[in-house]
Amino acid sequence: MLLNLAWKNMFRHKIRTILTASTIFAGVFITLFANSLTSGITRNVINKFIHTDIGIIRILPHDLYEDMEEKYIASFSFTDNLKNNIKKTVNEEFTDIEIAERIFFPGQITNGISEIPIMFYGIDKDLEERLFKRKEFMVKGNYLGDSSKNKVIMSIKTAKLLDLKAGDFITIMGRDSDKSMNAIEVEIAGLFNTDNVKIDNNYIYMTKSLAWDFIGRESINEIIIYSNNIQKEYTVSVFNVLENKFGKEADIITWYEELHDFIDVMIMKEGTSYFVIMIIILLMAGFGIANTLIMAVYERKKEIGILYAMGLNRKNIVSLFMFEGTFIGVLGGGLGGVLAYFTSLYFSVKGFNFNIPEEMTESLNFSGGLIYTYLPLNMIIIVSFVAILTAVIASLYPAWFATRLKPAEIIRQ
Amino acid sequence: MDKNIIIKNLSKEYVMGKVIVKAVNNIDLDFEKGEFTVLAGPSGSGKTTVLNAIGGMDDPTNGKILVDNVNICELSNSEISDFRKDKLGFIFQQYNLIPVLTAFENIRFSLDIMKKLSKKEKAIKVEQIMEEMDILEYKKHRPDELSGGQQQRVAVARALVKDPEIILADEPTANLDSKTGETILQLMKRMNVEKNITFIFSSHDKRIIEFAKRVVWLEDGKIKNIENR
Repeated sequence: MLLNLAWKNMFRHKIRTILTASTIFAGVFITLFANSLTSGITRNVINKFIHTDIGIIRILPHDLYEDMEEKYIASFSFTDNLKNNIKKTVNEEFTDIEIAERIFFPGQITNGISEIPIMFYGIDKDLEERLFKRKEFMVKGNYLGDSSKNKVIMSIKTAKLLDLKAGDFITIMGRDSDKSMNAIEVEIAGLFNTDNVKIDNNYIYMTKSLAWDFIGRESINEIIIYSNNIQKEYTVSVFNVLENKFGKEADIITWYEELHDFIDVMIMKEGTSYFVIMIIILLMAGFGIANTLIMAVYERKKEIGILYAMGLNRKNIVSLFMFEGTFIGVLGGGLGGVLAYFTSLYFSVKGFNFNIPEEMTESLNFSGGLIYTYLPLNMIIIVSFVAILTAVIASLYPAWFATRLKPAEIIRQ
Repeated sequence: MDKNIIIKNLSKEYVMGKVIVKAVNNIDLDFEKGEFTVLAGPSGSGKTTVLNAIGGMDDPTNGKILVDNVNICELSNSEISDFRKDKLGFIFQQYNLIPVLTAFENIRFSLDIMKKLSKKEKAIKVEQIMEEMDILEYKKHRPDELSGGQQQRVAVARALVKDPEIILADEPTANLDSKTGETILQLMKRMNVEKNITFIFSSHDKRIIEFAKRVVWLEDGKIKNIENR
């Protein structure tokens, strides 16, 4: 009875109802779509980190990971025994995992005029080309080829900083495994652009043999556990096995631990943006609905009196106006949620072209481009529910106001 | 005859600015079951105030109103709502139908509030009373699609459909032409006889006054004269 009346009352002033519901609709849609974009960026960056650099687990020699900047990285290495045991364990326990061995060390590159700090990576080019698909990111020149003994690849960003191009020669400098300074001249075989800001700003790749020549020792100091399954639960299961067996001999770092600073920042960014947008929704929706319903109470004073005369009590009158507010909330919040879902679904397949200012690329670890949006169902439910709850709360005052009216007086008016 | 309603020492004062207006001043009055009474008098004589007090729509300043031996002035908000729901039917001068509901829904609303009948039973009852009121063909019309007379018939049907003990009608024919007013009165008279419902009108319409079994003449909030016929 009251639901039916509330539903019909909602359409007395269609434009007013639509405008009020639109504020909720816009708020819910904007919140959810913004969420789907930031979640999309987060997932995109995490995916990129995993698939271009760190795999699902990174294993370093014991005691290297903490305060790495203060250590002579090139002097750390895995013993053959430990390396082989790790490989054997992984291959026995898991079927869909591949292992890459690397040697990395810090140094500088110079074009003769200026120099910049960089991290050099000696890699198994064929294996890493297959796993990390670096070749796909090459934009100029060639990937490390057969005759690449003294060749490196670097990002186009790094090259621009030193005004370099593919085919140019540069000097790389660093300390070898004996902590002595060393420098050699190498040719830039090609330039890549991975969109992974960490790689693009900091890394130069070369073959493992060139790296070994440079540091003066054939050793490795990084083992990458790579899998296409990047679910956190799976990573945890692999980590647990490795940690149990080798936790005392090596630093075992999962992708989510490696990226926790970034993830924390993104969660904070997401949290803050949701909070701000939510406040805006609450205010817009709350004031809009309260205003609409107060107008409705004023316009329908006499009718409220008649309803009292017919035997409705105060509780019924409160319910009537709260139902009206709730309907407006459900209309706006529901449609906003549905549209956000389908919009996000569309852009999760087609990608949303998202150009961000260059100064934001560092903090986001993302340099723009296509974002594949991601919107979890629970987020839609939460945001829509909050909008509807706001509508219900906003109806309280008009509903209470309606119960303060004196039936005889309003009918007489 | 049973006394259906007993009013004792009823007074009602309104504060208008700095002036206290005595709308009703120490009235004693009673109504028998099935009575057809008119509260007559000029504007401001207190007719509507007495009706509102009987309907529990307005709290009297003094006095008590016993309906079936229950002092309604002492009832809580919720109890007074139940009293109106179960025992009273209101008819207003302005019809006061709910504009978003059809004629059928307006009448059924009275039954919906009572929550006693099934949906089917309610539909049968509503159609029955609409037929009696000769408005069945307008069942799907909204109030703004009906004439004044048709709207008042719907309002009367809405009041009668729940078989109330008492109908309070505040100037029910004031906005109707004489022919329609006459028809509405005939209808109410018939219901009064057939269903033994107590009808209390406030009016200064001569036709209603002529119709009534008893006329209570009010002036300046006091009973001036009671005419029994």
